[in-house]
Amino acid sequence: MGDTVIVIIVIALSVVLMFVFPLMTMADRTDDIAQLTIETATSDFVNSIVVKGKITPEDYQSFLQTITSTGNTYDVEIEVQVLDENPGKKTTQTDRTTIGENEYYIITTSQVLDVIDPDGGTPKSYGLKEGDFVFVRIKNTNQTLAQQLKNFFYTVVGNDTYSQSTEKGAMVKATGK
Amino acid sequence: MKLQGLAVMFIIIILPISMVLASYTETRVETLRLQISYDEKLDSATADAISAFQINTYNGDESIFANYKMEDIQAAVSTFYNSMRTNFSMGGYNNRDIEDFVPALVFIMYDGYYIYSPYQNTWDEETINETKRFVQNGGMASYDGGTTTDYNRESLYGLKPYVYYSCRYVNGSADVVITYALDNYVSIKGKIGNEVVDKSGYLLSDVQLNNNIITYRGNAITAENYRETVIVDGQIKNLPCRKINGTKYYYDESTGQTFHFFNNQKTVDTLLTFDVVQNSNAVEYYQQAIELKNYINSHPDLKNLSTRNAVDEDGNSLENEFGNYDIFEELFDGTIEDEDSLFNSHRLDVIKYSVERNLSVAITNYNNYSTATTNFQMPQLKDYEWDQISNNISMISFLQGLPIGAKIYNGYSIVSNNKNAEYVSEDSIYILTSDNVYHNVKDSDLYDGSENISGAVGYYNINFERKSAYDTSGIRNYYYPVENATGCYNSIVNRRDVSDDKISDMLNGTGELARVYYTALGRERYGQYRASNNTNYTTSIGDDVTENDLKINATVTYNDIQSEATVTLTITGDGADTAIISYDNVPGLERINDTTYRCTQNGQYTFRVQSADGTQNVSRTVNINAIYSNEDFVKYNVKPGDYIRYEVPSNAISILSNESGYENTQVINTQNYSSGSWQVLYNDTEHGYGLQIISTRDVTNGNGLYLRGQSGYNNSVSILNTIASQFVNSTYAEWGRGLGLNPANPVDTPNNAELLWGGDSGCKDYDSNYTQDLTQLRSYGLLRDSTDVWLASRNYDAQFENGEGYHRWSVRAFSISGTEEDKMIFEQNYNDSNQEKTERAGVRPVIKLRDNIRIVSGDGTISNPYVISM
Repeated sequence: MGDTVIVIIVIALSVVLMFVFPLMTMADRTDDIAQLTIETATSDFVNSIVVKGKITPEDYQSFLQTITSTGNTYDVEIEVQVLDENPGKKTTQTDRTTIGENEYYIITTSQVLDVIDPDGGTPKSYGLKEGDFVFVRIKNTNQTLAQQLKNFFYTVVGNDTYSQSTEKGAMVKATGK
Repeated sequence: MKLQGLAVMFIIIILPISMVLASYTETRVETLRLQISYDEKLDSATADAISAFQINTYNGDESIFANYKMEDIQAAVSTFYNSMRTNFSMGGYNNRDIEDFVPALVFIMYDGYYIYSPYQNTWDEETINETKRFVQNGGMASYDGGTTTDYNRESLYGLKPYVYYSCRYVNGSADVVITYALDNYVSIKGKIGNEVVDKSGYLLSDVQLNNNIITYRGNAITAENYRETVIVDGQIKNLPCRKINGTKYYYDESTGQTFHFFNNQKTVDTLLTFDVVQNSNAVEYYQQAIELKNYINSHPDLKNLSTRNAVDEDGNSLENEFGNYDIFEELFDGTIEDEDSLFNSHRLDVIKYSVERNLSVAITNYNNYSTATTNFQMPQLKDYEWDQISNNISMISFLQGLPIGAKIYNGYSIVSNNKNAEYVSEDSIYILTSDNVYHNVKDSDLYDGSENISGAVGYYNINFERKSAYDTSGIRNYYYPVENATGCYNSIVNRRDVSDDKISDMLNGTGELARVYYTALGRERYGQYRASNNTNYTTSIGDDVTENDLKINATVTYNDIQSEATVTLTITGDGADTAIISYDNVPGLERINDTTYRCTQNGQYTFRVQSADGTQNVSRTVNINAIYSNEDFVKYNVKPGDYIRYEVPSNAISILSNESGYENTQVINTQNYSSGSWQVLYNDTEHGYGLQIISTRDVTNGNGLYLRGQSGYNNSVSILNTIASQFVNSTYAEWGRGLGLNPANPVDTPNNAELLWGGDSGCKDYDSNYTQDLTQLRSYGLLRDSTDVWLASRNYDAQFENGEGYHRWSVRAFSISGTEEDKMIFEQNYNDSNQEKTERAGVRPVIKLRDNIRIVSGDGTISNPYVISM
């Protein structure tokens, strides 16, 4: 009886060592490469926005294609902080010795997508100007193989259970033409 | 074998493999992360540099001139390296540590580009000998801080000479060089047969002149009353304004003065040849385009110029580079201004060819300068990047050779800027409507009736940026050239409603909006600075009814000193060869040949052309209004910094030991500076300075003047005055003085200073007379020399505490870097332990020219200085 139990334990350990361990290792490497891919794609996307001064539908679609080529699904957030110099101008025009403060207001993902990827409409570029800021954040929404394997041993609960994410932001360098 | 044994063996095999794989993957991941990080750092530094350039260009009056532009670019380069050092956490290092990995920086300007990269500094014999003597006499060590005496062939980082976007073409009798720009402006120079060509302007297809009305794309272009806000004499005013050759001229209605700003100083203009109130820049812009179009049309070898006619500097064909199509075909049959025109395509090819060639050489040569072990090579730029470079003011930076784990970093960054004073693009014009809101010209609200276009004016976008000046109380005030205007929230602040369509297509048929836009575009483009701008000297071209009719065109060229003008007539059309030319024989007009006339007086001159069969008669009246009397020319055109050819008399003077305090007698021979150059220091009758000139460099041939002790201190001013008097050529000059004395009253301080502990020091008192001269030298870039230079001004420093103290007596100088310096040569201590010290510096005398001096030739540049006469 004792020998039987030991044999069962040995078989179980062997299965874990010979199959699960390499699988987990490779799944982790896949996640690392996917993370690098989305970091590179996000950096390139943000860079093209700040250089061109606009978010073009072509750049956006190309960005989506690149990140989904990792085999995962992602939630993409685009936030634009638009520089408003009018309050500063009005202050200076009232009191000539004072430099007025400029303000920023936020444009969210849905407002940007209404222009570059509208439902039923013609996509067009979302123009930005020098001094605006753009931020792109992405998080994966599916469970990767590595997450699934880890869930055998422990489960992460909560609202954010993503394993891959990145955020890039930059100031727009030239007003889009 | 038992299962557990198999499992152990499996682990022994697999574990190392997976560990190695994991490590390799991690290394690659880190390498790519580092590459992304370096890309971001390089982008950030390049963006900082181009922002610095942008701020300097539209805040400085002088940015339009070539030397000030180079200073702005040097500032941008410094900003780039500061930003790189900060980004790479190398704040304590100097630029040289970063420069090892930056093979080149390229600044794409409007009609050419600069490359910033290392070069070998090659000095001539005179400079080498002078510097060796200077160092041997105790001067500053060499640039690298060592003691080498080999100063020649030193590696320095700096801006290479400006390279234009030029290409040479040979077609039949035409051998011309065409210089392109970021828009459709061209400059054509060369020869067509025996005719020398020097034409420039914008290439516009759909511009017409009928019955003295100019139309562009069907929109009539007229003169306008254009106004801008400016702070002048401490007050903010909205004045008529006109920009000519990069300078804004204002007319102050309250004082009747016309003025402009130079170096933030108001300069009143009295002899302008154009009207500031009626701004006809837009009219002249399109007129110039018509002239250029007609000129090209009247010269078949130029009109039929093709890309296959392009040749390099050795005359070899560049057909393989540029393809085979006519360059100017669309000027007469198409729309040459369009982005997709063949002309634009060729323009991009020429820019790319030039930049790529010179940049490749600069980067490859960098291997000879850098201490990094990398082999530097020019990376391949993509087509859309060349498109970006060729259509915007841009900066390209390269960073190579940094190790990033698994490979060596090789990256570049291209950052463009489209809000600067360099280039007026089509998108740079904003439309200000009557509600004081300015819009992008592609704002949909301007086309759907939401906005009232009546009373709208087009402005250059940089005129909505904040500027500053001082009010009458000396407090800095801020203002906008276009006051009380705010940006539209649909197209300026938030640009989501800006259309993607072409501007020309959107404006087609819009009437008033198109007129406002094209007038503003023409006004701003015509006012831009051009180095070879001869627009001030062309007359109007008059009627131009049909292409084949007999026509007479006239161009006016003034000589350097504007004492006379040459009128050149061009007769074109049917019967031009046999046409009869006549003119009014009036005083001041002299015929040289049938088509060339000399005018020596201001006035209107009429020329008539009649066809041989008498069926056609055309005339042209030329208005000459920029001939100056020599007195007026000297008074209003000779400026500080201009070069003057001045003949130095042959004199020698010995400065004895008891005068200078130095152990040896010093001999100053004026012939050591016989071929040296002189520049205007003052031309100011208002303050009584008159016309005063200064030697460009030290006149002692590198030997310098030594001063020592109390004698040297007390006699410093009289010695410098005596030396200056040796350079007075009594034919042209009244007197000479030491630099640093009061320009209107160059006398020495008479008084002796008292010591802190009572008693006469025996030393002359200090003064602050030097400030006027030093300020003048700084303002007009006259400071630079290879040695410190004495100022005829004294200073002292004293301390007294607990009954003990000292007086230290100094003679002022300015150093190589342009900063003021006190050279202490005598110290008096409370206990009478006086000390004497020897100091050395150069001498730059100031000469006052006679009030009735005449300028007979020259344009004041270093290569063509003014020649004076009595």
